[in-house]
Amino acid sequence: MRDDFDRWQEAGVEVVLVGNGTRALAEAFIEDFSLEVPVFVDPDLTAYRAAGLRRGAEALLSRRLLGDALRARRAGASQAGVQGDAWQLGGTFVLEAGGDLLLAHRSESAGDHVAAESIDEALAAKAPIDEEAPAASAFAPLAAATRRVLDISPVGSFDRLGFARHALAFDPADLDVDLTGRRVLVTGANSGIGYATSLALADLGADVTLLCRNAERAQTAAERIREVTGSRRVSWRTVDMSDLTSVETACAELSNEPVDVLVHNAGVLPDDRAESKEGLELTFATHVAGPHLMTARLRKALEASDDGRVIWVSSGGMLTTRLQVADPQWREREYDGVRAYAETKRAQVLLARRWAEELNDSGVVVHSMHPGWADTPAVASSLPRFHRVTEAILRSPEEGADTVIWLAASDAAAERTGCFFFDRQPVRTHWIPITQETQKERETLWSLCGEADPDPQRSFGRA
Amino acid sequence: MRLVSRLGPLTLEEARTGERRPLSSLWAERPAVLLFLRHFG
Repeated sequence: MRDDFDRWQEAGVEVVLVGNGTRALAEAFIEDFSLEVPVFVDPDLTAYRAAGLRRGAEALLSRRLLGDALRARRAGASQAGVQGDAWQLGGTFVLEAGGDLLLAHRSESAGDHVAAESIDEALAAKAPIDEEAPAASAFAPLAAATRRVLDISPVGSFDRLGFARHALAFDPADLDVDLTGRRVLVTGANSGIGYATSLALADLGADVTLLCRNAERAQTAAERIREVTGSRRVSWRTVDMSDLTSVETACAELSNEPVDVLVHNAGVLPDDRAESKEGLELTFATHVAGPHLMTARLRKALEASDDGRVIWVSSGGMLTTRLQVADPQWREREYDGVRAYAETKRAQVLLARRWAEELNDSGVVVHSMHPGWADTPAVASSLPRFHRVTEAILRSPEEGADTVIWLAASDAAAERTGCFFFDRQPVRTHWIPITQETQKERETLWSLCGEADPDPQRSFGRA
Repeated sequence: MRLVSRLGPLTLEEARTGERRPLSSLWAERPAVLLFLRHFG
């Protein structure tokens, strides 16, 4: 296509390539193909997402490419690896000066390209086309029908292959939304899933406030999101979710205006038992006490929204664990950080369901979700052995964040409340019967948290 | 929502220069062909 690039450039057309790899990969690509046109890199996939380009297992589905690969292998050659994101598909857009869209082609599978003649015709005709939301994949019915059967194990469902398979059933139109005017708060937003969520929602037009423990990291993340998305409506504020006084202070400021979306994402996984400023076990304070208090204190601001949503980012790890209400502070047991994490993530799912009931009359929707196995800085530092063993199959932070973004932004997510989601689908909260809690244990958790109006001096087992 | 409204505010890094450029500048004064690659390679 290089000759076509030259021809179009000579005719006064700006020809631009966008790739999802790094600058180093792009530079090698430019050299290999002796390219002279501008080449942009989009490792965050911000522009790919904005363009509505497909992402999923169809990126690997192409009879022609499979045939090419087999022929190359028989000839003794093999591809060393994909130079970018393996699950991302491309596309072509032709725009008239000023921005009218003349041609839009979103690849349906690997090797699905638009012909140069079609681009020539679009440039010559100068006839703007109607813009339609990207359609669902042709594989969507098959992916949806087989999901329950194939999701029998975390391997193949919680990993990146699982995301690619599940993504076949996603409806791209769900995120073809404009969030301008929507106010979103995200805790733990400076890295990993919180960062990817904040970036995507800012990209969709929302006013996003990053709530982080560390001011410097919060500021850096906010500046990066502003730079990438071009949005000026990205702010940050420090809050330590394990510190009830910090949560109270932040909420006093944040509740001055309606809150449309609150994402409880902040998390910790200490090796040894540690306590918050108020003497609560740290994971319990961060995952349970802080978010519960924040939900209560922002209740009126959420109810003031005409489409309020609360999203609890839980973990697939909670599926192995039963709710613990006898000793949630680990005062009588030998501390196990991974188990403390899972127990509090189980408590989040139950609190989300209880808050959904509590807020149902006001129209505020509350869901919990788990992101699968995502490659985030928190996983790398807190679970180094797990990270080392599973690194090759971990999801990207963007893939892990996809369901949070969908719950925050799509109309479909507001059609129900109180569900536990994984890859945009409500899923069961118990895989094994032994994890099933009793109604009494649920009530004990709610009571322990001070019900819908917690008192930081007395609730959460302090008194 | 129109494609240019979604893409226009974004800035991307140009691989050769490392400079970030608003995508809206690409089609501001002349037609543009944007080719999103599946991957580099």
